[in-house]
Amino acid sequence: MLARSGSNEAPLTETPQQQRTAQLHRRALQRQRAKVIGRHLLLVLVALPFIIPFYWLLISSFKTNAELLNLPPTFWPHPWTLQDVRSAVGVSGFWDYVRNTAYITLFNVIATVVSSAIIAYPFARIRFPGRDAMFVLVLITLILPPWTTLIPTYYLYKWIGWLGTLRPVTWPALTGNSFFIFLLRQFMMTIPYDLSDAARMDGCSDYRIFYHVILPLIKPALATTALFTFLWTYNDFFNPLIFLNDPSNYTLSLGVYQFVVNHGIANTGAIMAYSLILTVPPIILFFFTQRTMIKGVTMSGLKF
Amino acid sequence: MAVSAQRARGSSPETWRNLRVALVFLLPWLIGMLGLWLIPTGLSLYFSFTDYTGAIWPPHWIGLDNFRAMFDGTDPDFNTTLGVTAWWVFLSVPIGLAASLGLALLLNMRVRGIGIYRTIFFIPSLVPFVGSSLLFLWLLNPQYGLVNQFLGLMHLPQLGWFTDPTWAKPGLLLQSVWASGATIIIFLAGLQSVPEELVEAASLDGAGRLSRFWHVTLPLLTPTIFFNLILGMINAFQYFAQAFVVSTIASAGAGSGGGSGEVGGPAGSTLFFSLHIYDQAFQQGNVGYASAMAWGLVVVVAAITLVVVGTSGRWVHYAS
Repeated sequence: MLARSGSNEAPLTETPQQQRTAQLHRRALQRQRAKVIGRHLLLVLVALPFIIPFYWLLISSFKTNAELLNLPPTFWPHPWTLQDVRSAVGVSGFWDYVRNTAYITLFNVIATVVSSAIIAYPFARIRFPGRDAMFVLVLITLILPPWTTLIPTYYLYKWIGWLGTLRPVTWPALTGNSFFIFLLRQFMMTIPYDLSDAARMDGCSDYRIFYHVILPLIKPALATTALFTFLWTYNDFFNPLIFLNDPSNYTLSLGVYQFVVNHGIANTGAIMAYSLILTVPPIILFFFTQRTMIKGVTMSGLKF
Repeated sequence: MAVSAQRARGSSPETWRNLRVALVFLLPWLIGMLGLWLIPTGLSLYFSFTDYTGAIWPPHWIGLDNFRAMFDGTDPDFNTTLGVTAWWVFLSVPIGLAASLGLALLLNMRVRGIGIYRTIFFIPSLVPFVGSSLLFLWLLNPQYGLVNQFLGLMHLPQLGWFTDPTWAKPGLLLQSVWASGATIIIFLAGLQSVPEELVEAASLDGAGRLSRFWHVTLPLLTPTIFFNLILGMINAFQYFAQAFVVSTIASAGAGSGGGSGEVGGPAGSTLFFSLHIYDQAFQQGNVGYASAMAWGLVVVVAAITLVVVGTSGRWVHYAS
């Protein structure tokens, strides 16, 4: 009876039951709408503490130094000024830092992708004595905290004359990264072995199989490797802090820290503008590589 | 026939050919293994039994003195750094995980435009460590910082944050929760792999929202929690960049003179283990002692990881 309101022979006047159904229906709709609005309110409320620091970074970079000390603080710069950005870019050595960062990051991305893929290949595709033992070594270097090797490595670099150059933060990438060796090996193992066996029957060497059969099939994993190597290297503060002693070799991250150490935190506008500039490249990269980035995070727990 | 072919393959010519080819591929790795792992590890072990200062070679062998110095009061900061690191590993990691899980639950709701919210929560994790540290130094500035202004508006006490030994670590925790987008995304992926039929079945059986979460979703999420816990704890033991930047700058004072302040300040309240190692190795010149502490860190991390992995059988449910 109650469910009859939608029947074909709609009467001109609604019976009391039909009225009640319509009313119930309307209430359900209202409840549904209230629920949706409630959810959005909750999300906005929780999102605010996440977005406000970001907004603060942005507007602090365009306020005058006088306005930055206004109490209560202003939520819209008046006037907008480029003075902070100019001071940030005018930090002595800034363009050296940009060049160094670009060089170090590019070097690490290319070297890590190439060397990790080459190293992963025999672990995944060639049977040779001692393979499992060697792979356990890869896993150990993956888990071991870097502090033990770090201190002697510093002295090794000192003894062979690498301190004062960019080599300590670039050349090690040529020997592969344990994490990506592991990741790429897992990927290579999913490729059917019939494929390489057939190629081998035709007289293909392992070098050609690697280059012509395997590499084209693991492009997504190579992209993940490149992306996260970029983020890690760009973000890295620790290695430059320890290994780059010459100010002309500083990266952008190390440069801003040294700037603050040298001049104090009084020049807040310039410091915020510098931090904003520092933040722009990874954010831009995110908008172009969103899918790869999110997939990399969920797939393997990659963090940066 | 097959067996003999197998044996033929296992015997010399092909095995040796494979080994030769594999070693060609592995050459860069072997060089790195030798130069960046084996030699440094050996040197590090050697340093830890010496009083090496980084200057005089060969260093002077002092046996177990460095290891004794951690516990007999020779290093007055050692207990401080243990306390700070324990706070971070056992308090901030669980708090951070709970916060990330809560946020992931919110982001798992079905509303329009949820993608925008997810982006908002993820993006702070992309801010380079130095940038986010400097931003939080400004946000948590005792006098002009936005957070204290807000607290004042709500008639709550304003805090000293990075200048106050009590509030420096919570300040760092705020920063780390703000930048926990990757953990949130991993939790979200875990939540999305929880089969909806199970939650609906529980709902039909009359289970309320809380009981559905507690008895269905949470057990199915334990593998993800386990993964994040292990990763979080290993990272927490090695927490460095943010604390280093914040402590050295905050304790240098707000003046325009600058200068690098106390590593792990104020009053040692953020002297995390890795900061202490860094300070001893690269600023105080106690290279031998720092190496010994680094080995201590390896042992503790390995022990705690084994304990967590060992007990995981009791609380981690793997779907069969």
